[in-house]
Amino acid sequence: MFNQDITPYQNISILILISFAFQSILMPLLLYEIDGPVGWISIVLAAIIIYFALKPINRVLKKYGEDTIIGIGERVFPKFISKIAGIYYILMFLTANSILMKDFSEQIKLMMLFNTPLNAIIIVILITSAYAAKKGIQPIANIASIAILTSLVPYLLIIIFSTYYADYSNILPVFPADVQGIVKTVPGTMLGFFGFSILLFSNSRVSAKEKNITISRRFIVISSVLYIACYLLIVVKFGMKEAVHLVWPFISVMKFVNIPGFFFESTEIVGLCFQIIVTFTCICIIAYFTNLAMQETFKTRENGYFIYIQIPILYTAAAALPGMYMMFPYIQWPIVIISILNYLIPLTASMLDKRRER
Amino acid sequence: MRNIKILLIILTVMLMTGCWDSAEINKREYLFAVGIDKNLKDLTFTSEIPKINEGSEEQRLVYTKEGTNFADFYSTSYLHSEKAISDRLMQVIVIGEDTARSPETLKKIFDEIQRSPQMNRRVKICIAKGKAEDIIKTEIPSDPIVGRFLSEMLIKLKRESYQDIYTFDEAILHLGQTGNAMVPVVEVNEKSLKIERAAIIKEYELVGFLEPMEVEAIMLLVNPKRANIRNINIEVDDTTVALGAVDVSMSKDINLNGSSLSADYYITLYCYIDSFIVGDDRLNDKEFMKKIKEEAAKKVSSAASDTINKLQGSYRADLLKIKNDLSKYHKTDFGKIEDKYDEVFEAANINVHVNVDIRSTGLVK
Repeated sequence: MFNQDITPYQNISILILISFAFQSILMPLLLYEIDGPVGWISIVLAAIIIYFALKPINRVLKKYGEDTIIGIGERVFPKFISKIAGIYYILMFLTANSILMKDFSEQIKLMMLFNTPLNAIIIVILITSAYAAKKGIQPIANIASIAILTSLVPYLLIIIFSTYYADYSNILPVFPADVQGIVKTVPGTMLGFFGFSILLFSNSRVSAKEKNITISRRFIVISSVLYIACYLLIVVKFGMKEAVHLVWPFISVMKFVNIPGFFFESTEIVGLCFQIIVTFTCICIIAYFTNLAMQETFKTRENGYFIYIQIPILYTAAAALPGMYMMFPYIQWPIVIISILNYLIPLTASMLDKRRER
Repeated sequence: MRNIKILLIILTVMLMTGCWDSAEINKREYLFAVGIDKNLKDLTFTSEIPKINEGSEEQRLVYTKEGTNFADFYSTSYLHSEKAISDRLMQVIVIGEDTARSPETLKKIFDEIQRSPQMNRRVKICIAKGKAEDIIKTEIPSDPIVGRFLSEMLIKLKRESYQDIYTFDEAILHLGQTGNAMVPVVEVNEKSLKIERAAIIKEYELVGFLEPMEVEAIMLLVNPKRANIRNINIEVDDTTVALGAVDVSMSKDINLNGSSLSADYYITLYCYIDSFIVGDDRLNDKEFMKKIKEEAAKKVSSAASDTINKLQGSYRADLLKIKNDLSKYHKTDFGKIEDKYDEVFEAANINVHVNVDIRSTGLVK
């Protein structure tokens, strides 16, 4: 019907943006699970693990051109397993999106709209993002590529300003490092690279597919640098003792910002406005790829109308779920399981395909 | 269909603005300063509200209300005024001496500010010598709004690095990291207020006060690059010489051997001669200059040592942030003595070695 291809730049924007949103949500996990400011080692390990999986995964994605991971799964897995994998991705995207929406709406309520009911905020976000998601990948990809420049960069600049009066020695001590804590947080950190799960779908929509491997690698490198920089920023600003208590470290960083000559009364509100655009774009992205996963699993010609199925599910889940910070004590194992599945499903598909070739 | 969509969008925009419960600026009362004192039962909040809405910037309202916490104070204020109370422009929180001496109360106050999404963490903080209410109620002829007066004074002192902590976020970070903090003390000074001394807060409890010279000595050891040192007045061969330090360099050597802690600070002060005697040419004499340097070094060193002794012996409060250094650079050894750090700090061998270098004699020899 329409040309639904995206450019490699739009693809990398989507991947970086979506990873950034989940990295900020999962940051408290990295801060309080590890004794000492060595969470960056966990990020490096997670990035390396994902980096090595990119080559085989991209090989199989390139081979089947227009197919997403679900389409490839149908070719290499038994039918039953491929259906389960498809349903898994749908449920995973729905859960991730509802958590993102809940966390985001709670931030807006607490910081900006104190008297507005949480449900009203969720509905507004949901309706707006549903409209964007229904229009297909191109508008979302356009929003993502613009959001990177207009929101993520100024948002990061505001956070960087907060390093004024920071104690850089807070990044010490590195040794002796809490090895157990680092190992324990690697799955959670891998989940922070949420773009890894998205690229399994988005790469098939890129116009220049030969660039996918380079784009995927660049995404991991840029995203890890961003992740490490944000982690260190929080550590130098607060120190580990204070950082472990924070529910939303990024919002708290902005509450500490004192930009010379800044004329806004509350810097955190300005930062939050940028974050609204970033998170809103991420919600649209996940909603679209949930549609795509549903289309491929249920074998339909269109995917736009799946958003009407998503809306009640997302609303109910977002309204019912507690905030991410309230769930941390209970989601240690689910995080490990989701992280392993996200990593192993595409890798297994790639290995089975290679075996079939022989 | 298209019209319905447009209508829906317009309705959504109008209904979801979040401004349906807005209060105009002239219907608000902005708190500029709040003083918190402890009474027999609860806390006494003394708030200062400038009459900014009535075009008279130099007039203010002062309310005193009792409450258990900030939330209580706000809800009581809400019921006692026709206007909406707002803390968005809060400049300074003054904590009364009695309140600061009660760790439980201070912890509650800090927790509430830290937890609140609305309250500004960059609000300035100081401890009142005596009652916070007296500070807030002080009538200053030159600047009647106490919140503004204190805020501007604290900003000025911060710029000159006279003390270490000025804002709530700095206080909470210091107390969290080391358990100790040095908070400015505000006192009534005839028809005005002054901030000279500092309060020693240890584990959220006011344990003592530091005199201006002691504050200076601590700042020299904690933040030598930005430390603001006043004139060093010394007597050399029955003549008074005044030196002004223009630059400071410092290195430190902290060692932990079992439970034995030692810290050596090596400070070099680069000074100018500020005042001597007209016509006296002894400043050309190398021996005389040497005596000036030795005498100045002795004076600074002795002031620093006395302050350190006071911190070690009287308060066992590590305002020098040695604990912070140990936790970062000697993590394993520090882990073994962390629980008894106060005793280790009290028995520590801390030395200050001062060297004075005279860079210039000013515009005349």
